[in-house]
Amino acid sequence: MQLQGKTLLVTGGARGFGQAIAELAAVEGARAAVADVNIEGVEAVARGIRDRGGEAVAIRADVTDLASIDAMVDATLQAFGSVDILANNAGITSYAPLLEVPESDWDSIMGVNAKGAFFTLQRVAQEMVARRQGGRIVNMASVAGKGGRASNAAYAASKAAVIAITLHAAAALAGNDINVNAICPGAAETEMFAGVRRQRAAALGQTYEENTNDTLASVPLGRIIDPQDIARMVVFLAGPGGYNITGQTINVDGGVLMG
Amino acid sequence: MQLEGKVALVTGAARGMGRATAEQAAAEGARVAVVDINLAGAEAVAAAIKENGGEAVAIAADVGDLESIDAMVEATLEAFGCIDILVNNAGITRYAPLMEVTEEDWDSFMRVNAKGSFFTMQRVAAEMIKRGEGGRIINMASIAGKGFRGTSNAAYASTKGAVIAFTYQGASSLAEHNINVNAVCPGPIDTDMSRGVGRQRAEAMGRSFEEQATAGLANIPLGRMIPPDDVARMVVFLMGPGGYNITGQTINVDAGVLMG
Repeated sequence: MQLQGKTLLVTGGARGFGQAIAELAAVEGARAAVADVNIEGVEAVARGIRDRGGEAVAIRADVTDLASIDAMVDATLQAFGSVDILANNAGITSYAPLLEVPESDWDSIMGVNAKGAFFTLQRVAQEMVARRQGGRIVNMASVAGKGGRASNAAYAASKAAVIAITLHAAAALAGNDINVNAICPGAAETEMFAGVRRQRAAALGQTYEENTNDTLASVPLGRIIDPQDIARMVVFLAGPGGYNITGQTINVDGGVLMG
Repeated sequence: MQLEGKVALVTGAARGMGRATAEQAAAEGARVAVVDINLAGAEAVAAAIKENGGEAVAIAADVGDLESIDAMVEATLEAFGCIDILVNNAGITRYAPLMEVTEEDWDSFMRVNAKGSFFTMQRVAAEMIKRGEGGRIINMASIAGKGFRGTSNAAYASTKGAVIAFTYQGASSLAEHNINVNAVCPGPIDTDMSRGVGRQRAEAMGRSFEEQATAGLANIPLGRMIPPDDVARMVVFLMGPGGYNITGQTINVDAGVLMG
């Protein structure tokens, strides 16, 4: 029970990484505020956590809207009294080759992944600073933000922004005992990335299996990342092992990008 | 008990980060080969693990000597039958400004930190490949190998740069055998070895140890020295389920000294 007594706020908690993070953190004793634009999705996740004896609340939030971020943080404080851990995970993408990325992709992907993550971090950090008990912030970046293969150049740009936000915030918040790190997943087995692989396969005239095999061929360990792998690293960074880790952007990618 | 049934070989385990790693791995259920050139020190650590209900053997080895590496691996196999995890931790340094680094510094640090770690990795990986059940290798590097300006000695920094380079090579070459190779890069750490360096540095600068320590803290964003247990937690994480899909990474545990 590494997170006993801690409150976790996770965005994008209805599925994929966010769901895995909420569930594993709850198993480790955290009270989980599970936020998503899809309220039915987070209600199901929160109910699942409670059915297994954990504590969780579902919160509807759209991180592109600062008023909604405010409401999400207020709802978390109302439910649990504090935020100790932020898993800044909400993100979107869709497949597009560089020459075909439309302005609408750029605006929507940047809006959620970069602007949404930044203002969520800013709002939660304000609470943490005011409370004076430190905190842990884990941002979901991607190897796409470090030059790895990406679904969409706008997605890569948004994740590079998350990395830059992480480095800046770690430096700015260290004096408040708030550790800020990013995780950079590689090719992962989530609905979002399965959707990207379907879109890419269709664009390249491949079957889904052929496209997945192409992706796997570029992964040294030869396997797709499971959301559990990401959740384990988030929980590690949020727990005792993360006490002296800040400003790091850690790849969980089967060896795609070494460094 | 994340490491139930696993066998871990930890070099440089008589004290500091090696000791903390051996003890935490044992607490997570691993059987631990506690290796050091200081046999009495390794025996004390193994005895402490056994007193706490764990399994451990103490082995004397000088990783600068390839025959000694062979004997260390054979002794581990004899005790536990296999090696699932290698923590390539043995390392030495002493304080010297760049212009005063001696040839002896260079040769002795390289012999243990770089050559010793490389051939330990090579020898253990050969066993892991032969067995065909994968493995985890964690090399102890340092932020000194990534350009940290406060390093004890340029020769030490060079050895750790070498460790980082062969971590990448090892990760690339061994991925197809399901062997994950990563490095942990500690920052300013509170061990016997680093306190020795701090004393040497303080003396060279005409300061007290306390003044030196305070000046050092000013360069650490989180404002604290890192206990060996924090480094051990990351090493144990990489050994366990959380490290399954992590390879070729060099992860800083440095309270924010080098971000990236």
